[in-house]
Amino acid sequence: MHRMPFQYLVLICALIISSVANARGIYQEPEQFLNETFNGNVPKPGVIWITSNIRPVVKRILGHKPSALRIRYWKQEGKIAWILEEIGKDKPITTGIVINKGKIERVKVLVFRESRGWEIRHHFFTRQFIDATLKPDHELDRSIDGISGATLSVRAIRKLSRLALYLSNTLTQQQ
Amino acid sequence: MTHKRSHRKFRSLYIWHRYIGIAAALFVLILSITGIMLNHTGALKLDSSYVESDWLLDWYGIKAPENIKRYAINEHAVTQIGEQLYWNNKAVSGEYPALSGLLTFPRFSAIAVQGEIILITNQGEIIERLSGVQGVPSGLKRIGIQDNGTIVIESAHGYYLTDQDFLDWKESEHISNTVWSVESPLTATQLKQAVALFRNNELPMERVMLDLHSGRLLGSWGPVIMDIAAIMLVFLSVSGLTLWIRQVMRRRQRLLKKHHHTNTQENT
Repeated sequence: MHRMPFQYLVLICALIISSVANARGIYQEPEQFLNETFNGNVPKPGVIWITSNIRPVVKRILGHKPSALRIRYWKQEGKIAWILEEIGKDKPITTGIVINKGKIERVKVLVFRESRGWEIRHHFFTRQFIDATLKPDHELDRSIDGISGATLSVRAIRKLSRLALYLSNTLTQQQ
Repeated sequence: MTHKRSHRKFRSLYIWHRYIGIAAALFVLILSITGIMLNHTGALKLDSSYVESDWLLDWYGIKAPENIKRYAINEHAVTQIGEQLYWNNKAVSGEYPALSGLLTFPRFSAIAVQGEIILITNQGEIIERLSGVQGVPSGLKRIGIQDNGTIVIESAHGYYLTDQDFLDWKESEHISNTVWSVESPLTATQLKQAVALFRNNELPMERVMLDLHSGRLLGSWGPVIMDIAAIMLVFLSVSGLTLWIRQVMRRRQRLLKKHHHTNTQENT
């Protein structure tokens, strides 16, 4: 039987530790996300107030009371960008979501602060949301495959996607 | 002879059962009451109600941090104790870096902390937390207001202006007529109130119940005492069962004897 040299073992450990250490942090600056979304021509932000008529649905989607009374968005030619935050396990995950004509165009994890569950930042996970719409019961029209070990982070992104779709639909109805 | 020895043994077991029962009664009461309360934490709101008793807070060693800051304008005040903010004596959810200013408007106020501005209603509900994501320039040092209502912040890279919607920021050098928010030093009474405010929001009832249940409230010896109480309860169960079985067997033997005696009499 071959013995694994000690140096290889140290190298593997170092790689694992560095990958976990790098997992937390800023994947994309929110400004950069907006610039990318609107091709460098970022519109002025608007705000939607979580008034009493939409508050119960927002609360149902998030599973808790919304943490703020107003949420900011950036809108240009039917495209609405949201930068939303939701706690996965202990800390908020900042996510950029772009909605175009009632469908999700892009989901991007911008800042991840949790110690685990960072796999949600990968394209193989976020691409599942592309073209998703909201059903009348405020659920996504498709099932999203989870990632083992990242259940709470997956749940947080699912909630934020539903919230972005709901708020975008509300904005469209209001205008 | 054997019968006498056995009787003495059971008599001694009965005495032990009685005294250990009396000694364990207090622990049974504590364990049962705290157990029932812990089973209904949500209904009894044990996780959201806090201990205000000074001696219990002292016992747990709960002290308020020394860095206490306060900004006050008219009837509104924001106090920072450690990383916790209090808006008019009501805790603001979340943890915050160093407090650096306060501006009040008729329907809301703006609390500036390092790198963030928190818009809050007069009732203490957060309207929005503004950080770099919402365009707040980095390295926020202080906040002020101009005669025309324009809000000014001094950041690490210069001065920035915004209106009362806090939606758009513009860099500017025209800050001459700005009134900057200044810290309001705490009086001795306010300091005492702030310390009490912090301490009275730190120790949930659930924690005390859990510690009482496990014995940890009494320090490192607590769990040992509770272990002894548990052993006592085990002893009580075994001794109680033994004494009961013995009593049942003796009653049965007495009945059999009586039955045998009646049969013998009938036969003669």
